Amino acid sequence: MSAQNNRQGIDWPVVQRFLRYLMSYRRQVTIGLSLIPVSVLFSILFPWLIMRIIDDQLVPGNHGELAGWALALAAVLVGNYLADAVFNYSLQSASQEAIRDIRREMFQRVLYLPRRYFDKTPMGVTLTRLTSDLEAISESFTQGLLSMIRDILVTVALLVFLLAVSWKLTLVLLLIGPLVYYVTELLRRRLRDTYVEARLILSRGTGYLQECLAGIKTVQLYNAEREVVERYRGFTLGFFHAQSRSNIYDSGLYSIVEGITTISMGLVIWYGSNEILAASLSVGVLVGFINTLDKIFVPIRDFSSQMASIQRAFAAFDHIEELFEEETEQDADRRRLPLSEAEQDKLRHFDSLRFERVRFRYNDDGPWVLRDVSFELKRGQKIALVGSTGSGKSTILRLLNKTYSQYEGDITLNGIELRRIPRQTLGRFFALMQQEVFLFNESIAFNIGMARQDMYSEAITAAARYVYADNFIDQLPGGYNFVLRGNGANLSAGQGQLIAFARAIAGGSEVIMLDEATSAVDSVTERMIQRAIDHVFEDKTVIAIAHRLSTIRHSDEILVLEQGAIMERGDHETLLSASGCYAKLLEDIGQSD
Amino acid sequence: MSTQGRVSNLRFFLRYLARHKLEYGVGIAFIFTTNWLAVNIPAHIGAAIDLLGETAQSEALMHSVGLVVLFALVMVVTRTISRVFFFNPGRAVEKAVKDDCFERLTQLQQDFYSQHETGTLISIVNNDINGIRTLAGIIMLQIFNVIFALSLTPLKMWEISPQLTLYCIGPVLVTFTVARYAMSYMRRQMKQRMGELQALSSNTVGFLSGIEVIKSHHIQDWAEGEFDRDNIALRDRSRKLVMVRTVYLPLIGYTDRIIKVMVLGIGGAYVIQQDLTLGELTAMLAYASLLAMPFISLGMILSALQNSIVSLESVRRILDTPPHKGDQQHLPARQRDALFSHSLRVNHLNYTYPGSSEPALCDISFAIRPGETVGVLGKIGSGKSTLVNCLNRYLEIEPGSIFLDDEDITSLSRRDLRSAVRTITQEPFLFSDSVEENIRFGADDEAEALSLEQALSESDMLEEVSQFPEAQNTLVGEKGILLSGGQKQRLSLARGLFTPSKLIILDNVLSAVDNETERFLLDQIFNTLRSQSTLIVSHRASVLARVDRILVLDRGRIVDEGRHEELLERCALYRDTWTLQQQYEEHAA
Repeated sequence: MSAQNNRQGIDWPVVQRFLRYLMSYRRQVTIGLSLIPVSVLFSILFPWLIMRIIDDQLVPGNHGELAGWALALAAVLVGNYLADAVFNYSLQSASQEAIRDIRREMFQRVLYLPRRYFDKTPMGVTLTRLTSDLEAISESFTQGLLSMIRDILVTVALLVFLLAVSWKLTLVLLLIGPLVYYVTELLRRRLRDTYVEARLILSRGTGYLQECLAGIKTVQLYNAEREVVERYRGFTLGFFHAQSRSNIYDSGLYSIVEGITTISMGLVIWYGSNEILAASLSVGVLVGFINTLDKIFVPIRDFSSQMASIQRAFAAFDHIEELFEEETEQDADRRRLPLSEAEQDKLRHFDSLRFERVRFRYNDDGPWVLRDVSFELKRGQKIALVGSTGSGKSTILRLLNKTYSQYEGDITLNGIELRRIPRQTLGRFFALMQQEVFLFNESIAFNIGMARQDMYSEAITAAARYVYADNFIDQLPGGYNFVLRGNGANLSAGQGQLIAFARAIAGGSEVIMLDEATSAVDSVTERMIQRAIDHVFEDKTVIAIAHRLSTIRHSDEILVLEQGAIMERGDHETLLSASGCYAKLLEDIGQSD
Repeated sequence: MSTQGRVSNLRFFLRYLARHKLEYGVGIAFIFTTNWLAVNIPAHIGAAIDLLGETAQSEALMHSVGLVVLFALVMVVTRTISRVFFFNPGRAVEKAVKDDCFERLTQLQQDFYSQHETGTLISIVNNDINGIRTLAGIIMLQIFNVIFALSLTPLKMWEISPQLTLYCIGPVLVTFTVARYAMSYMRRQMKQRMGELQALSSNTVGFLSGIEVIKSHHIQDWAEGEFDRDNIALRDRSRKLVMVRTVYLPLIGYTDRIIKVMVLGIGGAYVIQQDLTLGELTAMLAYASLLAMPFISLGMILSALQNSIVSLESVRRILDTPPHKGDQQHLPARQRDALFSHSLRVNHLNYTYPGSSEPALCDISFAIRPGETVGVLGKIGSGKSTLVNCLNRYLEIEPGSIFLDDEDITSLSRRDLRSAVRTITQEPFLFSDSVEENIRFGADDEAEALSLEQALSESDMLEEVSQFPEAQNTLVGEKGILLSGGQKQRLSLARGLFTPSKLIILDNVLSAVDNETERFLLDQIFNTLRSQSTLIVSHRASVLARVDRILVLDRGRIVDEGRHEELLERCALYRDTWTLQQQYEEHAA
């Protein structure tokens, strides 16, 4: 986490990533940048032409040439407009392309980040990186920084030009310029303070509003309407006061710079009048000066707000950089020793899975979640894991599908260490069948086939038939093309469940990892699920987190886990007659059924 | 607020503006002064320019320059004041509308909340209101600014040269048209972009929630493709916006320079013909900016106005919903205290939820007398909570079905009814506030309340609260310490017991506490609360064995009524529930 609070000024290295992406659009960037000198030149030509027109045409009364000069002035204006428009358009649209590329690459990384990242990072943070942070860059950086660079160049060029024309008058401006900056900076700082205060009150008020709406029934049943209204008014009043103060600073900021510009005009005329008498200054130069003042003061006024918005963009750059620094699973895969031919050969079919003295904890300083777990699952066998919540059942499945991999001890698949087998290969062996379903807002066919290239519609219908989902799917409008919404909200609970089951079957995996939910379901759903599970038990190798009595009974071996260790093992009858942990657990299951 | 006949948006809005007549009046006076000063400054600059190079008139020159500086200084003050006097009422109107919305929201009942999502309501009160503030603040200011600027500036220009003034109008009209269309186009695009960004966000949330599924099926490529589709849509929209921002909108900023070119070209010719002095030309150059400004503002006003109307409309979704009738009149204190002197009577009560075809309650009749303790037993979904919500009028019922003494409760105000009938709900809702504030919640200052200790001890919370880090000042709820379900229930019970009421309804309150606590609380309820009547709703028969009378509810009907022993004998449903639960309890023990 790079600290954004102790940073002063600008952190250039983080911008380099953005510039690298921007350089993919070199042509547009070059066009844009090459127009900066043109734009600066035109900005100077405009006041210069005004001076020339007054001094050379109007004062001596030169009739014939005025039209030509006026046309030149118009041409400069058009040129200035075009140069600015093309400069801004090409650079900003290149930035938008770069932002799209960054966003795409960030999302790609996110898809391959290990589970550990998601454990420690709330979803909202990742979402903010992909949306708000990039928005901040798009708004503050591309618009703020680009226009600031141009503004600074134009202002400096104008000042140099004015110095060349009349250094004495320019000196007057140079005295006033810092004053403009100082006054605006002062007001803006005040404005920022009240802004922070107002935001704070507003967010508290919003929190209170949200709470009252959530608890509206309590408010009304306790006759507390007036009480909460009074309290809410306290928030809106505080917000109003903070905003009233900021209105003064805001209005002052707006008025003062304009006032200073006008006062400078007066000063320039006053000072210039002596110079004109001494014939060291012409009227045209003076008028030209007056007409250029706002072009110098306005950028100075805007400078501090542009800086503030650029600071925001830099904070966003920092956040994004964090995401790029996370190691993805692909990075980790690349460091692994590749499997030899012979080993690959051994991984054609599932043969056996062994856990040997496996220990695991989620964090390096956390408690052990698995302690010396050993067992073996052979082809065709059914193993049930039972135990209370937190006993480590789910962790075993998570290690199996490589959600986590920093375990101690050995887990071997057909004799090969699991760590060395890429996740993709594992798909052939294990499929997770769980009751907590996640369905995409896509067609049923998609949700079963999961966009696997080798998945044809026959395989999809076969999988649906396997779990007895084909009947209801055929009756849906559009059948397999029926599009799901809201995690299957337009299906019944049991139907969604079966789709997820079919998905697990469709991959053709030999081992099914079954994760039964503890929560009770209605009897219709229960029956649908039971039929599907029965079928799976008939002809697959199964390792199950079991909560249903029937699932447990049909298993060859039952592992009873308690606090990460296997306490008892054996089949149903043996364990029951031992009347230990298992017998007690069964009672609880019986009650919740 | 009138309930029949919708007033127009304008009248609705003017009602709020009218409260700040004085401030707006001051604002208008100052905006006029500001504009008057603004149009006089170029005239004096012009005069000063014409005096340049003539030694004799140096004092006159100083006079003009002095006026320019003085006007500029005064203008800083008047402009600041004028803005403050428009912006502050804008904020005040925002506050008033917000307060009114909040107040109305506290009065609106369940039927309103079932139709409006909380998120939408919060967004109306927080975001949509901005359009109203803009309207009451900056748009009002700009309207007067534009009116004065457009009447004063051309007048001054006309004094100098009518023809030149007419020439200047042309580019200004072009600018106005560009500003008008470009801004409303941009606003539309931004709105669509906002929608596209929301789509990208919500799809991303989908992908992130399903990340494990995506990973284990190796469909990252598909997810990337889907994501990039939203990503590209967003980029394309952004590029359209870039186009407007960099190509069309800057035209507006060039208006004053376009006018300056015309003034120099055409006005220059007049100068050469000696129809115009150089000073007047300089003044005209300065007027160029003054003339361009209001037209730019006008474009902004017109497009912001559309937004404000949308804001008004959405705020009125709340403010135009009338609070329920009959809630205006409250009984005098004495009459209110005398409520429930002989009975609460339910007479053939029926209730059907809106949009449902089956009644949730059907032909319910019973009575509770002061001092009685009555139980309601029924399975989940039998209508127990619906019955409770009818008794406290959380749900709107037909007149003629529930009477408190001889008063139909639909003719009482909700406030009076609820000070007599206190409900302690099944899901306790506590505010993020101290323990004490939560217990005092809604307490009438005049009512004789229990002491905090008493309320806590009667709900078996005294000891636990004293062990909290800051005892009764400890924050609970979202921002405070985490309470267990049982603790929440008991705090909610303490809140219900804190001020006296005539009838206490305990809606499944004891479900989240353990057996021992349940027994303790029941003792409290039966022994200390004897003076009050109690209605205990539960699906646990053991709770009800000690009450005076039990109503057995099944599928919205009362299937039996009587004492525990009677029901055991004759009511199959009651007997089954009892036996089953007894077995469970033995099992657990």
